[in-house]
Amino acid sequence: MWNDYFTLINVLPGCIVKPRFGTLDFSDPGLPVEKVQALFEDDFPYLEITPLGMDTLYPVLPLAKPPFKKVESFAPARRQVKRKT
Amino acid sequence: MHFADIERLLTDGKNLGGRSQKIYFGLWTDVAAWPTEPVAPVTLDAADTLSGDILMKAGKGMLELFTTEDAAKLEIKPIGEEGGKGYDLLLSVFAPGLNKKLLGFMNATKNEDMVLIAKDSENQKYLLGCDIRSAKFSGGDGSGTGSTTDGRRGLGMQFAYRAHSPYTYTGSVPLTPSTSA
Repeated sequence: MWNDYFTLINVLPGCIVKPRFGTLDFSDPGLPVEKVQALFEDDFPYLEITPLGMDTLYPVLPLAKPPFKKVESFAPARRQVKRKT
Repeated sequence: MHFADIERLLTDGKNLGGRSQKIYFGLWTDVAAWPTEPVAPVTLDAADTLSGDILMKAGKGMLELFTTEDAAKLEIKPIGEEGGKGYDLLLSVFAPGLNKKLLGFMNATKNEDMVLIAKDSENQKYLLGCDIRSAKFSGGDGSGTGSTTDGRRGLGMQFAYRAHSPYTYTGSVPLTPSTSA
């Protein structure tokens, strides 16, 4: 249900008309989540995302560790200094 | 302002006239926040579009008024002298029937400051009202019983809003009461 992911703020649950989306009845728990998410992304002023919505719809993926590569380094060859005997 | 060519601007050739069969109304004093007008717009499109949403005071929302198809229109009428041009936005509606609710609406709004939102057949919205000026009941045409049996009973009402520029409104219409302070 959309209201697990978003909370209606500043208005009582009911109808709001929005261009491109038509009349949306926010007292209906069956509103498609995709539609409500699109509204949220359109800066709709009456929606707030819940922590569950944040985790589910906008998950932050852990940074992948770069593959380990063994770096081989060689010590520079020492210069042979001939000693005078 | 960056001027640009204006070509044939019909999307898929669509250009149906007329208005939708609903208008949205509220009292001007019930509005808590207004959408903002464009400031130093760069493009012609931006010069016509309001930003943001109309927000109502606590316990208040906008309401719907039904109007008969092909009996309502929004007129954008240039007014003023040279150097002082502006616009009258005239919204005419015809609400069928002469019931008490409709007459009560007319009685209650005849001297009130109103805010109205009208939608055209292409789903474009126009806001009549701003933070400094309201839409007002300005008269009507065709109100009454009609004179013949093939006429119609109802109320024809006109609302006028004077603005320096007509803007389209892309925000939402809150038909549910606000809970904010």
